[in-house]
Amino acid sequence: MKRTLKAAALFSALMTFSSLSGCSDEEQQQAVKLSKGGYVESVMEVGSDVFSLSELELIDNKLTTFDSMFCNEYVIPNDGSDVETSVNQTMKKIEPSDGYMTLLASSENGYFISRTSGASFETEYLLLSSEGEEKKLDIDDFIAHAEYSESGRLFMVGGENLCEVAENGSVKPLMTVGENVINMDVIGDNVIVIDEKGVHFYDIKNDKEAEAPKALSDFLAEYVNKAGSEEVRIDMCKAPNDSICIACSDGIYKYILNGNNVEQIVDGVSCSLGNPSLKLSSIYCCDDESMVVAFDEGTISRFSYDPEMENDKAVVLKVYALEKDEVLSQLINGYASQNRDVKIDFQIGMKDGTTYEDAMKDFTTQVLSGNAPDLIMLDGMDIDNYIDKNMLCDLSSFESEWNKDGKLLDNIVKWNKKGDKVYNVACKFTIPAIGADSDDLKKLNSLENIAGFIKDNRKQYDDRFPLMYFEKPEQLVKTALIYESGDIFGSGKIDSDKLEKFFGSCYDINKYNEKEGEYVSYGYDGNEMSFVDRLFNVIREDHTVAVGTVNTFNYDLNILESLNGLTPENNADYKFGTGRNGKVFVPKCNLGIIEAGKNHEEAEKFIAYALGAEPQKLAEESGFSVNTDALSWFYKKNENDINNFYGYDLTSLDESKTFVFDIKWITNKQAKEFDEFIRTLDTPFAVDKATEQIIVNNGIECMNDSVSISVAASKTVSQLELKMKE
Amino acid sequence: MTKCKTKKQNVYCLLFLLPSLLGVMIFIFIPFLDSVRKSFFTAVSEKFIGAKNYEVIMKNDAFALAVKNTALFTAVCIPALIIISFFLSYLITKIKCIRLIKSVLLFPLAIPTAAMVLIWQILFSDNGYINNILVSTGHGSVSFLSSKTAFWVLVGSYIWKNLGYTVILWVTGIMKISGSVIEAAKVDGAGEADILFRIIIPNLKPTLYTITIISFLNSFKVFREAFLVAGAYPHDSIYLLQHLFNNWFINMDLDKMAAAAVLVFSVIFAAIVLLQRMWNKEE
Repeated sequence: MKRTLKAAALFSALMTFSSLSGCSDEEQQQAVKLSKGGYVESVMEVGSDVFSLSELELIDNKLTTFDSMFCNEYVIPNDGSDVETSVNQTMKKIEPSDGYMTLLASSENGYFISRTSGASFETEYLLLSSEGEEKKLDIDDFIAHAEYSESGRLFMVGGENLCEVAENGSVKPLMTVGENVINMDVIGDNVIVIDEKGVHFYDIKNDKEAEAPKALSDFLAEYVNKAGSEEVRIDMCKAPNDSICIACSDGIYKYILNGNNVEQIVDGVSCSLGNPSLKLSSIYCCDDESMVVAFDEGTISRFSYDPEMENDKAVVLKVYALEKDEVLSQLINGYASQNRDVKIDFQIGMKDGTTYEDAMKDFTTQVLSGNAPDLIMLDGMDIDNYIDKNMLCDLSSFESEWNKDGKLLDNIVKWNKKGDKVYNVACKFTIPAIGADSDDLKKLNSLENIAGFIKDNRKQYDDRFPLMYFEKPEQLVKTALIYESGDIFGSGKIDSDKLEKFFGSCYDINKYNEKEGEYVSYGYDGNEMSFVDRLFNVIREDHTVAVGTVNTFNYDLNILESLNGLTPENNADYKFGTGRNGKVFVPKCNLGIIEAGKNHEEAEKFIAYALGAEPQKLAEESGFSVNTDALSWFYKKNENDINNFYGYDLTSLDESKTFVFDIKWITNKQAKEFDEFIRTLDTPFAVDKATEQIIVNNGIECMNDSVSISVAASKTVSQLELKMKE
Repeated sequence: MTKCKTKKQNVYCLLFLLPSLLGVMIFIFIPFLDSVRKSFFTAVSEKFIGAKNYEVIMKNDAFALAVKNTALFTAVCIPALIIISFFLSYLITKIKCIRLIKSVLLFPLAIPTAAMVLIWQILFSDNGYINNILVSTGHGSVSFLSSKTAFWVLVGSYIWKNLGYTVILWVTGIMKISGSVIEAAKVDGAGEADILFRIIIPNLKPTLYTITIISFLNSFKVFREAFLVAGAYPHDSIYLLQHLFNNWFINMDLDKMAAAAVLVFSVIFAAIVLLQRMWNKEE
């Protein structure tokens, strides 16, 4: 008995340590083992002049979608031939001569349309039969989502209700849903509504609310939460064998009704779904189990199953970025699409609320444990620290691969050159600018000037709206840092007097920007406002100022260069630079290769791809290209009138004046001047996140009056000096 | 036969100790040896550089500041905690309802660090309650968390958190002293002071040793409060060794971390060995 007890005691003691299992040491370049068979994507374009595409529906046994705003009808053939385009005459007949019409839902039997009058801006909703009979509906709420069921019943989400519209036009509320409905789909006998609270199921056969399957509900909730404040695009459709296909930016998933898991069948990273420049419209699952996905930009992708497709990925490329970046996402998507044998493992450090410190600790742990990424986006990181530690590879050793024929802006791409060596390359760049009335602009040569300008004008014109738009104090400090960092850190040391002036300026701008006691909603949902959006307020109101970065041609530079055409005339003007220095630029998407990474070859190929002409034409809203061929392509867009926008109007803030102008693509002369200018940029702005956080946190404290300006400055100096001592 | 039995018992003892020993070896001893090895190599590229890392940290101002603050904190907190907790425990043994008091004393230990930090911020921040009281009574506000006063806030936080636990250890030690010895002393004419200094305190040496070691180890845990209140770069007065290690880890200065860890370990180990020897001598 004693022996038995002893043995039992020993056994249980050993079992407490049974979780000590050896850590497997995976090779970086292992083949990702999956069975054969997968989905192959083929892409079609319906046209470039598409506003947005409606839900894919089977009409007269043909898979059809419509341009929601213009009455164009697109039939997607099964045989892979070109999309058939025609004008839907039934809808065309009821198109208003002024105003606009939006197709909300379509079916074999008719259409559900909203029509807005250009004169009164009132919107009416109507049912239009395929024979052209109109029936106006008595609906006051804004309808964002609507869809017909297979049996022809029409469901819609209006206000906070899921409703059914009967054939006689009556509207019957069925179920309460949340304020912000993300998606609504009718799949078989169920209506599925996704809102900010979760997933709702409505059983249309039994006319009652049903319980949403847990696995599906959890999957959708997780996806929506992951997106955070970004726009969520998701669509679902019925698939064979009682299943549902779900399309989103992560790929295509399949869920078998009443099952326990949602399975990914197409990875978004390597197909159009993961392309951040395409907005998902809808998905349709055909009888042959191929899936058709429509995007608002007029792209149609068909995913067909190929049982012989090899899924073994010969190569794995690990990519790391501290924060999500549209340029990098775009590049990864493009590279993966062109290199199907490469599996890209893309990691974002600061996701799901992870702080900077925790993200860096995770990264450090990865590097030390032998799982270092191959390619890294260095924005926000202490690049010089990594160079000192020999963590980054010298990219100049293969410059002939990524700088073929010298088609790159060397002053931008190699902004961080150390002697002959290049450890990181910038893939995009933006340019800071200041905007104001031309007379005021001459005097605005520093942040201090701008702060003084705002303070004086607030006292003089107390009834004005905000004099300089920024979203939050944090955004103000970050933007202001671009303008003053050269002054604060210029001598290599922190200048505490200049830092105090910097905080003083931020304090004054924050205090005097808005009229005391008034709150102005900017209506931008917290997303970063572009320089041009801020400059619009300079146009609409005298004695205001705009600061920010110019990022792109389409919505930034073209507008700036079209300002001269404003009617009536306006004094709004702008200048590049920070006031002190006209040659500042902000390098973006800085890529480097980690020495400890296992796949240098693929990382080098990625960099060469990223700096190539075609990829450089993508993600244009996130920065100017660094490839001169891509820039030339942008400059030449002035040859196509479709790139011009006529009759853009801005109403003044007091609504007494309306300014109208044509936004034309920059002329050849303007392009030449711009091109010459960007080749002279020589002052990069790059601050690591830790330093930025110290300055921003102390800046916010002083703007909130938690501490005085001098205390905020001395705290910042002390913290930064401590950081440098380490 | 007896020898055989002892050998057999030893084998069994070893077998029972083995899981725990393996755990200590794998998670503590071997990683520490690896840190010693790393202290002679560069951080990422792993090149041998001899004692250069030690040279670098000895000249590093941040390391000097952190060591000074940590040593000062330990030198102030531990004696203060021991003295205050001892006298408090002595008073407690004189009153009834000891069980209830014991439970109350453990409350600070049960409060999560994040909750406690919130309380400190509400009390001590520049717009906190204490400053509001000071300003309303005509005094100037004090930057408790962003000036040298932060050190004393941290000391207060440490003592407040660990006082209860230490008092209980003292009370347990005092209760263990045989009542008959004290009775006999009283009969012999000993006063309260004599009993305290000649009977109670000498008998509490094992308890003192335990409390000193535990308090010393707990003094390093105060980093959590300091980090949550003031972040990775607090005021100079509360910049401790763990802040430095935390930041070095983020910046991948693992070579410096390893060298500093070995140095600090050597100092602490020497201190404990010294203490142990002093203790053994006295016994």
